[in-house]
Amino acid sequence: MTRKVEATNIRVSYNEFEALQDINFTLENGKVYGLIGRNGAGKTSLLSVLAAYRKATSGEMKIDGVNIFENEKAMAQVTFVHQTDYKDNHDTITKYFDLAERFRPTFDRKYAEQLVQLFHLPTNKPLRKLSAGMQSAFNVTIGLASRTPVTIFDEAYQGMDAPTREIFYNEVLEEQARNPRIFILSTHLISEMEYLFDEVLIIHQGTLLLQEEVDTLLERGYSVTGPTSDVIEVVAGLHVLNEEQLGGTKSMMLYGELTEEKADEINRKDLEIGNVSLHELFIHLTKEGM
Amino acid sequence: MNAMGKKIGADLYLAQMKWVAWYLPILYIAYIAIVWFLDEPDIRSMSLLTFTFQTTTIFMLVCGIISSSVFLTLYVKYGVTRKSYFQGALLSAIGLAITVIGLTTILTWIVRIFNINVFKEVVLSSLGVNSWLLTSVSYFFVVMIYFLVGWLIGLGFYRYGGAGGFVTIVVALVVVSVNDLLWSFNTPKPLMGLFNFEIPVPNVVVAMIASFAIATIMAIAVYKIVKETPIKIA
Repeated sequence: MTRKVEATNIRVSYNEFEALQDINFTLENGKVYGLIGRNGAGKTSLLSVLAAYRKATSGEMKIDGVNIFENEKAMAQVTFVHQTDYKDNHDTITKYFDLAERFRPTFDRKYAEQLVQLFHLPTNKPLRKLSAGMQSAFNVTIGLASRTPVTIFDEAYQGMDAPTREIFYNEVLEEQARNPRIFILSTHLISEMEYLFDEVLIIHQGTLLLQEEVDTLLERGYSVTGPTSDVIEVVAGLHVLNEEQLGGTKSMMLYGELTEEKADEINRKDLEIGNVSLHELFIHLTKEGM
Repeated sequence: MNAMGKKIGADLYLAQMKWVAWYLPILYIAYIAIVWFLDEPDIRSMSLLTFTFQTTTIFMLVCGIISSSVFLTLYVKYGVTRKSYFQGALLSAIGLAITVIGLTTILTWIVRIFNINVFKEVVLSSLGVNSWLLTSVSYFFVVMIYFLVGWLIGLGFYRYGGAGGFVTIVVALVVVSVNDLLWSFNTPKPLMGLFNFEIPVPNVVVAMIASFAIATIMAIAVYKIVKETPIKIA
């Protein structure tokens, strides 16, 4: 069965504040989605609707054609991993594995125990005594081992050191190969996690700026560098994201399809075409006032 | 009642019974000590059942207050609907009330059989010396109402924050006070002691029906609030 998540005209408002407006997208099984956006862009609000943590003010969020909110079958298919406050929590990891086993039919305890070893987590200590990084690793363990068709990690890496994050990323890729599902990774560590994404969704000020395959998106961003007057001439009419000047040399970051004619023109003028990273594209696409 | 509701009911019942396993023995020992050492006629005439009932109102109130912040968040996180949580939590509270009141009724009855001298002055309840069924059923209703108002307060704060939570406290005060007017059990009802408000105690059947109606209205109110409550991410 094809697992599909469809968002139609999702709007979320808190009193007067519009957190999300008119969000539409489709997510398909077997893909890792990167959800990126600046602080307060609406990422967590969107993921909350997707995980049935809150009802959208209007619009529909469906999994395989069924509205997720308050639907037993649909809700059971989504795991939402987010920062959780364990400071008053006296339960152990083992106890949470029992709970996951009881309520998540797809939970793989053996795999969860393997992850515990990989992350070096103590299973007999209360969660409140674990470091922030270990608590995050525990959250990730539940998310990975629950093996629900939709698995969401909302900045799940917080407090993890670099080697631990690396284990987490590797496991996402390996799990995707073993048990393909929809992974959604909401993150601020774009450069570090870029290689995991099949597609990227950028949210900006409550709206979905774009949903694009990473490769396509990267093809749309490029830079042109050379003598100032030539560069200005060649970029006329193009969507300029950023420009930098060093003496008589100008470098401009552009967004949009690079047509063959335009590439020829740039080459004729002996200007340099460069790549732009997802990180840079994100920064300039979500600049204030854009 | 769906299967998930029953499953959660069983889990929550067991979780809360762990608290009861501490609470009840301590309470029983306190009762024996108080009756033994205090020469207060009011206390010496109080049955174990009535004594337990009085404190169980607060115990159930607390269980209700913490239910949403502890269990609602947890279950939704594990893919359970609010509806199933509601059913399970209500079911577990009914089980809890039956267990505490039922167990204590049996113990009180055993104490009566042994005819121990210290407990000679004990009167079962204000409903009569031998009103075993009536007393236990009415006590069950009253502690359930305390659970439900606690649940309402907890949810009020969880969903609406300070101002909304305060409204639910006012509603809760009115509900427990009205309920005590029906029964005259002198259950805890803060502030109402300030008002000298008395009505003739109604017939037991009327009180029972009215309590049932109050409990039902409270349960419906809780369900209306819980069914679209956003889950907090903390």
